[in-house]
Amino acid sequence: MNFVLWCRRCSLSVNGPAKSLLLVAVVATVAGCGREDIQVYTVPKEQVKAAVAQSPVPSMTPPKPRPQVTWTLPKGWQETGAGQMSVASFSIQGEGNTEAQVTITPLTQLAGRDAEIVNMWREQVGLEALNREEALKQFEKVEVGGEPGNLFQIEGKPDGQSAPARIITAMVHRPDASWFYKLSGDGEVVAAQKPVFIEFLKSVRLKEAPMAASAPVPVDAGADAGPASGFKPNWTVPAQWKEQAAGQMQIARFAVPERSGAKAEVSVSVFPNDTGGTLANVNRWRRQIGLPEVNESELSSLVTPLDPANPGAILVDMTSSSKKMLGAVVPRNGSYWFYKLQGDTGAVAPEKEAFVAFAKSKP
Amino acid sequence: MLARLVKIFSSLRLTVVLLALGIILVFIGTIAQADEGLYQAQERYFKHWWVWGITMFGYKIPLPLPGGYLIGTLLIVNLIAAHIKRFQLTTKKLGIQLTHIGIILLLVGQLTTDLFSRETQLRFSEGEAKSWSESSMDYELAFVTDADPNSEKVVAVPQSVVAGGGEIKSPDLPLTLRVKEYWRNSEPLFRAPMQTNAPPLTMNGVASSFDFRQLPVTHTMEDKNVPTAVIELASGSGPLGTWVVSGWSADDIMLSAVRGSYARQMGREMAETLVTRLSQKQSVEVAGKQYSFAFRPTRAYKPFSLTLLKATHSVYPGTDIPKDFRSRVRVQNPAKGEDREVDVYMNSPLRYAGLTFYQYQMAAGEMAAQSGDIPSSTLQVVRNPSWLTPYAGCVIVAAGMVIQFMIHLVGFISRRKAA
Repeated sequence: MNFVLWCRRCSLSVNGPAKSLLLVAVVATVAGCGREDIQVYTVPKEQVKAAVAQSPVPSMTPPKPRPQVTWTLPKGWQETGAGQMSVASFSIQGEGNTEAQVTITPLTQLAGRDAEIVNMWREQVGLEALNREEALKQFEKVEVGGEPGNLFQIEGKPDGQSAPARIITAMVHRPDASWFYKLSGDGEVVAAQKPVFIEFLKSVRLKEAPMAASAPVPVDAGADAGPASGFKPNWTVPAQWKEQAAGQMQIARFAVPERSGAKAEVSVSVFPNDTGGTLANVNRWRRQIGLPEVNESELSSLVTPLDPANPGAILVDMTSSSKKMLGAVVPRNGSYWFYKLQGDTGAVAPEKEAFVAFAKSKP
Repeated sequence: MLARLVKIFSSLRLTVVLLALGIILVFIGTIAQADEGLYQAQERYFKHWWVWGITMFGYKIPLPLPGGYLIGTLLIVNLIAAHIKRFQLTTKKLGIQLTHIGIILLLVGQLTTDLFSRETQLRFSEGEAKSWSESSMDYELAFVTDADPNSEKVVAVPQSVVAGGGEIKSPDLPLTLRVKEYWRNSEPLFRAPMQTNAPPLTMNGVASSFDFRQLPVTHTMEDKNVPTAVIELASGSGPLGTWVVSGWSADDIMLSAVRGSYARQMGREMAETLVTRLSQKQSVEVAGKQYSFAFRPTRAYKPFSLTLLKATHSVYPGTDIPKDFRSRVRVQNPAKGEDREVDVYMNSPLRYAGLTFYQYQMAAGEMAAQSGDIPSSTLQVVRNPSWLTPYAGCVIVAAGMVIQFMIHLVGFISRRKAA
């Protein structure tokens, strides 16, 4: 018997009486060789994948529009953003290293299961379950954003934790979901924050989300497909600007006249939202021309209103050592139009008037 | 010469040296995981013949060490050689013989597990049927073309071959690819309209919408190395252009992460648009046939299919704490005329065709409903042909020790009685 092993980097031939002893080593060499070879095979066509590829969002059911939540932030609370399930969360620092958290979480299919909910919470802190009657006795009435709700409090020692934990939960069953407002954490911090929490609950407002928020925005098709899709705004372009092929996610691009070698160009894009807010946009633009970022308080000195007829429209004028950028964000019909004139200062400055007029004109 | 070799390989001194080296290797390999990460440390220290240079407490030390394969193989050789040399067919040594056979079985079993076991993942959405699972670590550059109306031919170039660079040819592929750049880890950057970007890597396909940037190779368990390559394609009739192929474009898990990240920044519709662009199909035409290509996670095809009927992910109300993960799957094997439904859930895997399907991850329930996603489930698919050998080895070792002990005990009692 002759063992022959081959791969792209090595070959080994073993013969003779030592073969049985070397068999293991030979087998092990397969792994040591480390280089795989090209595989060729035939498989059935992928039906599901093909179907998905035909349409960009076929497998997605539109998300249910959730009401938008607003609140008055109590003193000493810090917003920590949305979580996987929660739409908002807050952190409260107590004395020493103690802290508590507040979360706002909408959950469906829980209406009418109040006793079960109380017991689930009790289970979290290692308390035994109560019967239905006892569980419902835990509730006290509370006002949440003008709606009647129930509040209950649980204190216990969760498994594996040394400090006792306290949870105060308010819940309101609404047609869209059951909304849970939970204050939990260090027992003393939670106790001290209870009156603040109840005031916070009163300040909460749920505003029904407009249906358009989950429906495709009309301009999205234009923004997505670009000029090639046939989306052409009906606007008046300054005569001296020359239209260029639009880049990715742009609906138009223009070159402004070159002046003594100084060049600049105008680009226009449309997004279904403000892509992170004014501060984020301005700082991104500042980075593009080599300027340091600014904070919220410095922002107001940079931003000027663009158009008295459109109060949300803003203009930003920024200049670095050799570059200049004019940026405009104009909300129109639920979408955001971004205009940018960027390039060498010598080419940008003379075009400011034309750029402002262009950004103000309704496409 | 042979006698000398047999003497060396069968010596107890060698056993002690090898065991000592094994202890040192396990110690250093364990410490190195802090710097090199679990996967690389396992690979470098235990799945190689030699370790060229070690890492301890953040310091690289140029110290060569015998690797796990070398120590394990020499231990087996040592044990077998000692057995052959000192073998005595007597009932007095039966327990020792059995114990040694058990140890050999354990060593061989570990080696075969290491060589032949394979872990992949099967990720599917409700209603989706799949006859393949994919690697969570390795990628392949797959060229796919129609073989007939119902099937397609795949030529899959492993990541290691792409990483080797240069020109790659296959007799089954009517085109040549040349690897211009290869990055083991990378990230995609959307060529946003309001940002100034450098010229694209190429204007073809996904590169016209996305830039890709090389990232340092990661060794942590939380991160994943996602490769990207810039390749030039050419057929006999001329060049077919420069293309960017990236794991980001064809790995559903990474696409899902990108979608979530963009959705938080720009909203869901825009995120979907960007992900569609990132995952756009890239293809070239050669001699009238379309060849699509993607750098996708390495696939392992099965002769049967699994369909996810229902993914159940329940959490305790008001918390993210999971209560139950459960996948109702349909197993269809046309070759055996099999069509049945089965539940896969925590601690209750499906064992089928030499594979074990464990419930691994899930995106279902309230969270999926809120984000508008179809519930999906991921099963860990484990193929380990020698999974029984550790059990058998341990039983044999235990039996051997018990027998040897009993032989001594009976002998001792007999001698006392005689006295």
